[in-house]
Amino acid sequence: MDGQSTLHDGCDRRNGTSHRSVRRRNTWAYVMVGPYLVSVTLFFVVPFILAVPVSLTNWSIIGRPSFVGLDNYIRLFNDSSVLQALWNTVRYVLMQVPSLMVIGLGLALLLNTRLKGRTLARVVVVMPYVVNVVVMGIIWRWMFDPNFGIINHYLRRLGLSGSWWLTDTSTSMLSIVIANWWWSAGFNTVVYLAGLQGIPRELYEAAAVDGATGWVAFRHVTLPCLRPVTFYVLLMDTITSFQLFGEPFVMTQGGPLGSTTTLTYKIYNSAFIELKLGYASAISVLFLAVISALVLLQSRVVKSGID
Amino acid sequence: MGLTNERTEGRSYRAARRTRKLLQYSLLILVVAFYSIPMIWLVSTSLKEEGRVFSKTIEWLPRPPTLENYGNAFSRYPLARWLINSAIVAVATVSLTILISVPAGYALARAKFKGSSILFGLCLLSLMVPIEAYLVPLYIIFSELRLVDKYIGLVLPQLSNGFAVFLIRQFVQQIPIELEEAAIIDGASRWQVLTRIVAPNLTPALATVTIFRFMASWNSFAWPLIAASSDAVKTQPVGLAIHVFGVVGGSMASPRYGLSMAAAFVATLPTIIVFLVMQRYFVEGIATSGLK
Repeated sequence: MDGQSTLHDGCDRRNGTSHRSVRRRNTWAYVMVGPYLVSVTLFFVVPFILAVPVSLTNWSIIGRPSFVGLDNYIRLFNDSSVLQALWNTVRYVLMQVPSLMVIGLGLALLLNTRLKGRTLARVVVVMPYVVNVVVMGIIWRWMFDPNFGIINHYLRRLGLSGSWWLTDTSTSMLSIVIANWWWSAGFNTVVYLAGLQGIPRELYEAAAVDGATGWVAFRHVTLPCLRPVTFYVLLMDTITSFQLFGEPFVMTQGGPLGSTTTLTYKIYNSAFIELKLGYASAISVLFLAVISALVLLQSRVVKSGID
Repeated sequence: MGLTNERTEGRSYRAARRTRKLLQYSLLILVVAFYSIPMIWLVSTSLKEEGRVFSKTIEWLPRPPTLENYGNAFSRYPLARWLINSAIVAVATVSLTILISVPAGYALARAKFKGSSILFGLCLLSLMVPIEAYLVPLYIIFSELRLVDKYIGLVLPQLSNGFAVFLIRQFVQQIPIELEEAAIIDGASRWQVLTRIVAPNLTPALATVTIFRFMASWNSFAWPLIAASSDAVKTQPVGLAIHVFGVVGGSMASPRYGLSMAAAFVATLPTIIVFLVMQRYFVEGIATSGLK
């Protein structure tokens, strides 16, 4: 800059500073995201990725691990207990998710009508959500107790024979599903309530002009408007159900006869009871693949919903 | 003729309305019963003498009520220690989460930089992938770093959860940017903008973050189960499950339900209080994170 053309000089200098300030603008952002970037990398991305190399070894808590190639995977697909756990997990998801969604929507519809006491009812429905899985497990194990539990007690009073609930292979998983109707329906209800309140009143008025009320309005106004909410609830419920762990741990220890052993319970058992960390990692990789596929599917569905 | 028709129509309309109301109220009562009975039964059992718990008759109001189970829960088990441990871990988790996530959420809301969308994607992914899925490699890392069986080892994995970053980013995006721009023109640094202008407006978002991360930490089970084995750092869900309920080693023997329910109630009380006091933020938190 020789100072001869002040006009251009000024321009250049302005350009120069704005370039630098853009870079500086980026710098502050990098500094600010830094700590979170480090935590998410170290405690999420790295373990996520590390599952793969560990699954190729016979890692155990004691002793040196050695590379075993795909042995764990070959073993995994021939291990009937893993296949049973996979089937149990899928069976559970198929029972839990649809029922929980219907209950959540049903409760939201009920609590969205003008009824006395609905505020109290909302609190009561959401409240179980604050209880931890261990406490929830022990409450329901007590209520499901075949001899002294209140559920069988009242069933017998009604002249029914009662059930073995958690202690019978044919009803053990169903019992966990029922317990979760109590524990987790509040989440779906709150999300659906917010969804219902977001539907413009004019739509119902317009529908009423066309003679659509009640079921028809529900079918053609409410349900379509709730589609994004429904996708979200479906995804969250599916993922939470896939990770079912605390309930079998507290209520059944995976039994009876492995009927409530889920994938996560199997991972826990292989890794921390049988101390086969390599093998458990192979199951984890299988599990991560399923979860990632679900997340990807969801994000594509959401994107297509936005377009 | 026309008049009577109208009248009967009106009457049948009113009758239908009444039946519908009746149906709705009966449903409401059923719902309230289903969702409150387990907690009532928990409290009722916890106030019973151990000898009267296993009874063929159902006694909703224990006669005589006794606090014996509560005393025993504290005297037979280090329940107080577990509760303190849970509190330490939860408070540390919430404070560090806020400290880390406020700047990150702000930066993601206000700047587009290389990798920002990848980071935001990771943040969402971390919300969706449960810790159970990567429990084993996480344990390997933490045991190699000698972080197992320490408070810090229970806190760190929770800091990767993107809930707070996500919520703060969404929240900041709704705050008008003009005031910040004016401050920057006046020579304020980004930190000053964040701490003096943005942060005071973040209270509702921070309340939501506090409730959700506190509860998630207080109630977390899978990771503490493997990463906290000594009583010195054991958190309450782990202590309850293994020692009080005795669910370990495939044992299906009936726990002492009176004692178990008392300990369970004590462990749940803090979350019930937090929930009742901050209920509004709780419901808003589910709704906003649910609907974005």
